[in-house]
Amino acid sequence: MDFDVKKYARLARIRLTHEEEEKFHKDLGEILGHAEELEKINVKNVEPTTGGTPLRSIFRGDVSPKTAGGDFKPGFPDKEGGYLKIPKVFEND
Amino acid sequence: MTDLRGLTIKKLGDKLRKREMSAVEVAKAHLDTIRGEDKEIGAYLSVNEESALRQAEQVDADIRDGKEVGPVAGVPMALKDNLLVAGQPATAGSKILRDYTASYNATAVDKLSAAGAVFLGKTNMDEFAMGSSTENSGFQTTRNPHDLTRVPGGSSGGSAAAVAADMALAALGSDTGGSIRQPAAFCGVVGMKPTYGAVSRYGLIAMASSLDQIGPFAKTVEDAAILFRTIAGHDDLDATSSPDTEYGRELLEPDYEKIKALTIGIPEEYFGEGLDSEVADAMASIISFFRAKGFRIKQVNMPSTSYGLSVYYIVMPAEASTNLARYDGIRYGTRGEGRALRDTYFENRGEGFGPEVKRRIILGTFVLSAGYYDAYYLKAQKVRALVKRDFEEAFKDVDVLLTPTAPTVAFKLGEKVQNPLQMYMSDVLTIPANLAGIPAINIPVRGREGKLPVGFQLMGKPWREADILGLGMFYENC
Repeated sequence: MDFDVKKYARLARIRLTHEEEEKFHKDLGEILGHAEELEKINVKNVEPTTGGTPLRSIFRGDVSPKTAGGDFKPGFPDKEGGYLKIPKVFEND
Repeated sequence: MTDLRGLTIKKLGDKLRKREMSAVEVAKAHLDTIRGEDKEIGAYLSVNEESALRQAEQVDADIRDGKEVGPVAGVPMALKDNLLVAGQPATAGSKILRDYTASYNATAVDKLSAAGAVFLGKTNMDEFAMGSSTENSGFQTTRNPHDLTRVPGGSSGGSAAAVAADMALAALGSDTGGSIRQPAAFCGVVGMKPTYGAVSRYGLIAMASSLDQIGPFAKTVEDAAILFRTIAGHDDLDATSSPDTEYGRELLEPDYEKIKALTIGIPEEYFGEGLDSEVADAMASIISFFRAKGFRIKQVNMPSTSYGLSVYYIVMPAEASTNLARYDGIRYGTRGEGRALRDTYFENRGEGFGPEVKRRIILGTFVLSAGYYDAYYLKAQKVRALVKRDFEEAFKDVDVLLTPTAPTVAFKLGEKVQNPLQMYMSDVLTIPANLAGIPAINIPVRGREGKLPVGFQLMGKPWREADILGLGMFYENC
């Protein structure tokens, strides 16, 4: 199939070089070509599965859990005082 | 100098308890081997000598004080670099996490640490575990210790190579489509992917969440069983970890009368075209071994097997593209000056991710996009149900399935790197177990000294690690 690499790279927020665009166009065409074999499989009345082993939903009380994840602030790339800095959201001032 | 060749976790434990060896001594011997060998092999991304020796000293002190220590105490281990250890780097093989330091421990790491394991360092891997040769690492090439011109397999190639080259007594890896078993086969060590939900994934940098599972690398099946028993169990911090898991003594002390009563299934579809004659011959020798020992062996059919690869290369990129959305250049990575948010995303992701990761994110974004979701993602999830049904049917007739782990021996460095589809084919025999969530183990075929390693795979019923480990120990001790 003819795969629009640019469109999906843009949706995924990945900048590609021209060479990457060409290479991925070829690679992804081949991969999706291989996956076309799935089209002819009869899956009438088959329920999709999202995993191998059955899972039960687990609930916890609606309370703030202890910060099991530790302190992430030291690894944050940009900060000032007690604040984490991120780039401005809108392009124009 | 301590001889590490024939050392196992089991033997080390005996020697430590009898005070014939100290944990510091065995840690130093491994660190020496790393210094001597790893320039050539390239298994480690970071080595933490200081903390390793501190852990080893603690084990020695406990033994001196007469404290009871478990089977993992003092075992020098390598950890794949997608497992978090507080205060240590965790790059997942990606430049986007080049400067990241973990702020907490993965649950599996915590459990090993509490049991007295000694962590030597973090091992090389394909970027975000995407690959079958470790060549997709953003940092370095890892070579197969059996032949330095060949790949160690992947994505946990660094962990497999470290154990094979006596640069660690055991290791942890992660397996999404074969990333423990295939490198274990290529490097001639034991590697197991547990049942989905048996080991907490908390603190494992996620690739494809419905497939990822942490598991052990070791020199023997018995050692793998010891490690698995240590890391298994429910964890509130991973909603997919099963609350029903109870693994008893049978994991470590199999009842061989029960093991000998197991029926071994041989699925024809795993022995088809693309299988090296060398691998096929080795499999024939394994099947005749079990037949000669009186095991019941039965041919089974699993007709949906061949679709596994296509299903995998839709489901896995879909999940990976979602998981990797968090690498946005905001929380991790370097930040350019004065740009708007949108540019930060494009720039960081464009520069921080390598080719395979970009390829899979773009593919995943496509299969999840409006208009294609039903045709690709939903269809794949339905065919995945068929693959799973094949296993359920087969396990009505047999207890375990025996197959090759990989269709070939370790291939040459650079051989498949330009052709992704061909690279993906090297996981064709390991992917189905991930899709179905069942446990599976690679065990090296014996008697191949001087030749490249070949491994066979045993797949078991969900939660029946005891069957594949027990059968493996039977092979190992017979």
